[in-house]
Amino acid sequence: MHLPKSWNNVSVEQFMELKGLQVDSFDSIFDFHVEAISILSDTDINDVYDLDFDELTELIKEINFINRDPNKPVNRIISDLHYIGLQHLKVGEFIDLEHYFTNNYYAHLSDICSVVYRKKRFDEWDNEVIEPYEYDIEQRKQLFKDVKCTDVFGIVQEYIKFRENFMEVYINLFQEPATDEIEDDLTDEEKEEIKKEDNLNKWSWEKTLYILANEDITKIDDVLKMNLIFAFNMLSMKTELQL
Amino acid sequence: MVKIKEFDVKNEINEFTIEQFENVSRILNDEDVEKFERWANLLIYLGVPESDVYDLEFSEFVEYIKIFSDTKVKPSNEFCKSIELDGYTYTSHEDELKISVREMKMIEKQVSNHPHNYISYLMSVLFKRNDLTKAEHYADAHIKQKAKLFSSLSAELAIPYATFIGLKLSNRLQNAPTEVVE
Repeated sequence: MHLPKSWNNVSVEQFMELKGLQVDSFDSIFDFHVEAISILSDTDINDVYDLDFDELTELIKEINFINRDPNKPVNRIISDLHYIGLQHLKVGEFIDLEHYFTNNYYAHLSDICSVVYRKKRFDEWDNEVIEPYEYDIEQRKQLFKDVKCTDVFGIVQEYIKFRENFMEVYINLFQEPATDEIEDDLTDEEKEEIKKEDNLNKWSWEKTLYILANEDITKIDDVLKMNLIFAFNMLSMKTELQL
Repeated sequence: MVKIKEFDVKNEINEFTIEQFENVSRILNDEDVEKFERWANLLIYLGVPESDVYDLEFSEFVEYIKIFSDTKVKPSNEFCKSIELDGYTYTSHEDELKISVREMKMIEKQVSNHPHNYISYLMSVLFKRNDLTKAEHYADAHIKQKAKLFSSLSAELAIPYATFIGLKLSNRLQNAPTEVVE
C-alpha cells in the first residue's frame, strides 16, 4: 500500500474527498482513519479493513500530516492556466467564490481553482487579455483534479485574508444573519423582525445586484462583469448618501 | 470452588463458562447498585439463596467476599488456537495471532455497546469455522449464532484473547492523534 508522506503527494481530487469527510458521521475516529487511508492510498476500503490491525496503526501515524493544512505559496501557472489573483475580481466571480467558501471550501477546491485560474493571451497592442468568466466550470474543474493540492491550496489562505479585509472595508454593506440570536429570549415583535431580516439575507446577493443594476434586471449581467472593488465603492456611496 | 456457608460457589476462572464470566463481570460492575449489593447479587447469581446472603452478619459477609476473591488459578496466557464444537473445527490463527482492521472494528463496537458482554462475541470473531468462506464468517447472523455457541466454553480459553484485544485497544487509544480534521 502506497501512502503519501505529505500533502506534496496528494492530488486536489484526493484532498477534496478527504476534506469532504465529516468526522461526526463516522462510528468512531478509527473508521474515519480507515476511510482516509483508503482515499490517500487509492485503495478499496475493503482492502483496508483486511489489513492487519497493527499495520493500520502504523499507517495512521504516517498520515498525521492530514491534521494540518498544506502550507505552500500558490503555483501561479498550472498547465496553460494562470492565477489571476484576487485584486481584480469581478462581482460575479466574487459571488461564486463566496458560495464555495461558505459551503466547505476544502471540498470545493477545484471549483475555486476554476474561478481564479484562466487562460491568457496578448492582444494586438501587447496588452494582456484574460479569458472571460464564461467557460463551463464543471469542465474546467476536471483540469485540477490531478494537480498537487499544495500547488493551489494557498489560494484558500489568500482568499480568506482578502475576504477579511474586504468585509472590514465594506462592513456597512454586510450584516451578520440575525438567526444567531437565542430566539427564546425574544419578543414576538423581535422574532418578526428577524424573520424579515433573514428573508432579506436569503436574497442578499440578488438584492445587491438589483441595486447595482439600478433596479433594471436586464443590466445584471453587466453588473456581474464589473470590477468588484469599483462596484462595492459605488454601493457604499449609494448607501451612505442614501441615493 | 469455595464454600459460602454450606454452598459450593465457583470462583476460579477455569470453573466459569464464558457466559457466567460475563455475568460475573456485569454484576460486579453494575453502577446502578451499591458495591455491597453487587457482591450480594453475585453470590445469589452463583447459587447462594437470597435469604442466606441477606441473613449473614456483615463481618461474616466481608469474610466470605475475601474467601471468594482469593483465587488460586492463575489465568493462562497460552492461546488455544483451535476449538472443536458440534462437529466443526474453529481456528483463530496458525503461527502468530493477528487481528484485522475489520475484526477490531467489530469487536470495538461490541465492547463499546456491551462493555460487560463482549467476550463470547470477541471469540466468535477471532475463531473462524474452517469450512466457511470469509464472507460467511463475518456475516452478522453467523457471528451472533457462534457467540451463543461459544458462550458455553470455559472462560479460561477466552482470557488470553480478551487480554490481547484489551492491549490492542488501549494502545490504539494511546496512539490516537489528538487533532481531528474538521
